Formats: sequence, structure tokens, C-alpha cells
Amino acid sequence: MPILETKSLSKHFDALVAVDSVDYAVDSGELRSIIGPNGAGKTTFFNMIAGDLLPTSGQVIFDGEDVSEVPAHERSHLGIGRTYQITNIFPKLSVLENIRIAAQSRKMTFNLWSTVPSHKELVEKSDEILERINLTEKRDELAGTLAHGEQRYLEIGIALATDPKLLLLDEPTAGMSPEETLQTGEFIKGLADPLTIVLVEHDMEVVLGISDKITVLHNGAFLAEGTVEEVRANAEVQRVYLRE
Amino acid sequence: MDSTAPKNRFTPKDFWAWLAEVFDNYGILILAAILVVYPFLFDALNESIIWLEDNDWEETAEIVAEIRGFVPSTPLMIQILIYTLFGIAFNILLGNTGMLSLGHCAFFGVGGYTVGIMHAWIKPGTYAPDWMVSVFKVLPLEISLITCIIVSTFVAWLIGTICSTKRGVYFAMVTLSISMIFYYSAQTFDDLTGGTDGLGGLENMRLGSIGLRVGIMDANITYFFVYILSVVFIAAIWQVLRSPFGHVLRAVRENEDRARICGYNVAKVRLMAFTMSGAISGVAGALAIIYGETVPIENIHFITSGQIVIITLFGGAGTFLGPAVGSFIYWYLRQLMSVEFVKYLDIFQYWEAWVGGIFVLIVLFVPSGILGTIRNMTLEYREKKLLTKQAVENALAKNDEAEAVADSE
Repeated sequence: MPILETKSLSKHFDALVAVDSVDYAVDSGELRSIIGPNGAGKTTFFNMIAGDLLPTSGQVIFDGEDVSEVPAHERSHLGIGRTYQITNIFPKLSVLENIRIAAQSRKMTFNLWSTVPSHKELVEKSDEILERINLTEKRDELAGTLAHGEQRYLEIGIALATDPKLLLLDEPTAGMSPEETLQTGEFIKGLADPLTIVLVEHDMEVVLGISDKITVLHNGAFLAEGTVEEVRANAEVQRVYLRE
Repeated sequence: MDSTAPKNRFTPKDFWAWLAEVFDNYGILILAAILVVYPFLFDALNESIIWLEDNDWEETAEIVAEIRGFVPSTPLMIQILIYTLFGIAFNILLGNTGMLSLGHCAFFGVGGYTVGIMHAWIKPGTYAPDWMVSVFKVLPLEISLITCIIVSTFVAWLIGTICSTKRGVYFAMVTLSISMIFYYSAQTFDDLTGGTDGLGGLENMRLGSIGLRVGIMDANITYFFVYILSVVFIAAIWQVLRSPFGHVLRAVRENEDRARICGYNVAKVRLMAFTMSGAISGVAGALAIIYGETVPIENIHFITSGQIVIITLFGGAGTFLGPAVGSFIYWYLRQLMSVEFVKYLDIFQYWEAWVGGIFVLIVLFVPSGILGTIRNMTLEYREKKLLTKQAVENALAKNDEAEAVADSE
């Protein structure tokens, strides 16, 4: 059974059709990529899955449940985690606190009578995630003062700290140097299975290197889907996208 | 060689940094300790003047009396304490959740009017039903205070559900407008609230459980009553702000969208913060009417909201004790100008203009407030010192290496 499914999912902004009736399904444990030229509707598609935007029509089905109208914060609790194209962290909180806030959301919101360090499992989990994203040494620095690449990792860390089943990564390598980009690709590959990952990415090297399956969107509509070789061989894809 | 070794000199700057750090960590305890003996100190000052006069030290007595004018009196300290509590409650929103409410006078006023109306009307010979009067021969203050907490929590929750989904300027404007509804209601229902004259006739405020009369008759007793309640509520706020919920508040302040995607129900978090802040502001409002034994309508007017914004920004919205510093400065300056300075220069009777001018200067030049600026400076200084220390250590290590190499040759 697919963990995520969309059924003729559409989003219209007035006359503009950003996402046009997309059917999409991801199996648990897969590492999928969505590619497409600028304005293809990739980010809008993500926003509807994560709940930042509500669809104009169509359905988002997550884990067998229709979540089309469920608010974003509840989808996070169901197990959808995401990162943004433009780094979206808590810049004036410390690195540790960025992670801890995310981890804490699984346990408590309205806990008024304890202190954060007294929750051992929270502390351990944050430490473990800091270790995974390799920021243990910078834990006390303000997140806003980190280098760009580190901030991208921190954002992935924040998403991981919410224990997602499905992780949506919106151009995780945007603005990274070529070496960093390759490293990040490997890092993402290491996260997949049991975690399901859907990736929007411009860097073709990363996409072709790590994806199980690639989906191509064009002008908001589904264009092609398949393994790396299949998509490469697809004439239409070559025409609109890979040609450049 | 020895001359280059780092010396652990304790410079005056170090002292200030140390002091700021101590204040950062134990400021609440230090302030609480000073304030608990304050009325005794002020009494001692008063008595010393009398003693000096009795012992024919007229001139010295005059000098001391002159100095006393510059020492905040116990009633002024009551006011400072109340606005400290009010400011810290207000700062749950401004400093921690990033919501600027311009309608906190509504809670301050509602708290005051709840207690005021109960004490003014639940007594013989008024509209109050007989059974109510006969249940409380004299209405104990505990009952009216508990009612006040319930009422102001409810009012805060109600206003919160209306406006806590709004952001920034819209939030400020909606809270402002709602508070004006409360002001005009208080003005219109003057049978109940006394209207623009204020609500008087509250001379029977008594703590039922220990039979203690509080109010204008005894500044010291009122002071301790206000002190204890303020400390209890400030301590409660302090705990809330360091709790997991406090961290969520700051996350919402820093990046609301991120907090939502992390799984927090931001609207609910904001409503909770708003309700807490409003409820405790109501308590502050109730305390504010006790010493004066009247409820002036200004308490529910926008001017009170303006005051609390100024007080909080004076001290620093980013710090816990900022409102305490701001409250002291605001009320002390006001007192100094309108009572002492005005003796020498007429122009000081317009103290609002002066305080306003100082406020403008603070916002322009130290936007993080007095306490906030001190804290930033301390952090910077400490960081610089740490870097220097590391640099010196590195240099020494290199030196040692070079010497070792030289020795081995």
C-alpha cells in the first residue's frame, strides 16, 4: 500500500493553474524525486501535501487517511515532515534549541510545570540528531550564524526530529557548492528506508544518483514517471527538460 | 618570559560583567530580598528625621528630609511593584511570543473593576440582594480576588479567541479597539462603575482569613500584601517561561510557520499565552486599586496600555526583569519630576513630555532596553575575553614549542 497518494490533485491561483490534476503514489521506504522546469508546480505540490496550502480540488491520502483538509500542524503529527526551498529555521535560537523544539512537539506543548532539560528522552534525541547532521560542536551557536550549508542540514535535522514517516525535501542542495551537493546526496540516501523521502531537486547529478524513481512535472501537470533510465529515455522529458 | 604570561587581573569591567551575570541568574531573588525589607528601610529614614529633630539637630534633619524626597516612598513602591507584575505579564506576549497588544488596559481595568464593584456594591443599603450581603458581613478580599482571576481569565480568553489569529499591526489594532469598547462601557454604565469620577466607597477591604485590613490606612501592610501576590505570580510566570511551553512561545515568536510545520498548533499556543497574560494583568489591576481604594477610569483607558508598553520597552522586552527596571524608572522619574524637580523649574510639571522624550531616546539609541543592552554588552565582553584568552594560550603554546625545539638542538 502506498504511504502517500494524491488523486487528481489541483491547485488554482485565480486563473493560474499551478498544479493540474496530478495522480501520484509513493510506496513506503522509497526515495523519490520530482523534477521539472521552474514554475512546474513542484513546490505548490509539496505545499499541498504538507498542508501549507489547501488543494482546490482532489485528494491527498497519507497512510490510508484522507488528509486533504487536515491543518499543517496535525499532518506533522501524522508523520509528514518537510524542509523548504528557502531555509526555514529559527535563526535566533541556538542550534540545539532548534532541534529540541522540533523533538518536543512529539511529546508536549502545554507543559508548564517542568523544565526542558529534565526530559531525558528529549535531550538524548536532540543529541542523537545533532550527531547525525554533524552539528554537535556548534550546538550552542545561534542558528542564524551558521554557514549556509549547515543551515540546510539543520533544517533537515529539524524535520527528522519530528519522527516523520514521510520526509519532503524541497531543493535541499540549493546554494551548496558541488562537493557539498554530492555529500548531501549521499546523506539523503542514507536517510531513506525505513524513511520515505520525496525530493524536489534541480541538481540532476543528485537526482539521477540517488532516486529510486523520478517524476517529471511540466506546467503543473504530470509528464512522466519511471526509473532513472526510463526517464532519461523518455522523448518528451528530453524535449522539455533534460535538453537544457 | 614571565611578562608575557596572562595575568588574572580583575578589572572594573570584569566586575561589572560579573555583576550583570549575577543579576541575570539571581536577579529575581536579589530584588525580592531588597524589596521585602524596603518599607522598614523607608520607615527607618522617616524615624531618623524625627529623632534628629527631637535631638536638636534641626539642620541635619532638614538635609535628611531633603534627601528623603529623592527616595521612593512605600506607596510609590507599591505602584512600582504592581506595574512590574503587569509588565512581566504583558511581556509574556511582547517579549516571548512576539505579540504587541495595545489592549492590556482592558484586563487591568476589568481586574480592578471586578474587585472594586464587589466591594462597593456588596454591602447593606445597595442594590446587592440581601442574601449576598448577609453571607458576607464584610466581603473578604480573598473572595473578590478569586472572582477577579476567574473574570479576567474569561475576558482574556474571550478577547483572545477573537484576536489571537491576527498578526502584527492587525493584532495591535484589534486589541486596541476591543479595549476601547471596555473603556466606553465603563463610562456608560456609570451607575455601576462610577463613570469618569471613578468608583469610590471601597473602604472595607479586609483579608477574611487573617482579619487584616488593607488599603490606604496602612501603606506597609498593603505593601506586603501586594509584594506577596506579585512575587507569587512573577515566580509562576518565570516557571512558565522556562517550561517546555515557554520554549514553544519563543519558537512561535521566532518563526511561526516553522513552529506550525513542527507540529505546534500555533493559534492555540498564542491563545494560551494571551489568556495567561491577560489573567495576570487582571490581578495586577486588582492590586492597583487596593491602596487607593478607588478605581480610576484611567485604569481601563488606552493610556494604561501605552504606559505598560513604555515600561516594558524601557527595561527591555527581551529580558525577564526588564519590566521591573522599566517600572522603577518610569514611576521614579515621574515622581521626581512632578514633586522634586518642579520646585526648581516649572517646566518639569509636564513630566509626560520629559518621560516621552526619554522614551524616544531609548528607542532610538538602546532599542533593546536598559537591561537588554546591559546583557548584550556583557555577552559581547565575555566573548571577546574568551577569544583573547584563546589567542594568548595559542601564542604561549607556540612559544613553548619553539623553546623545546631550541632546547633539543
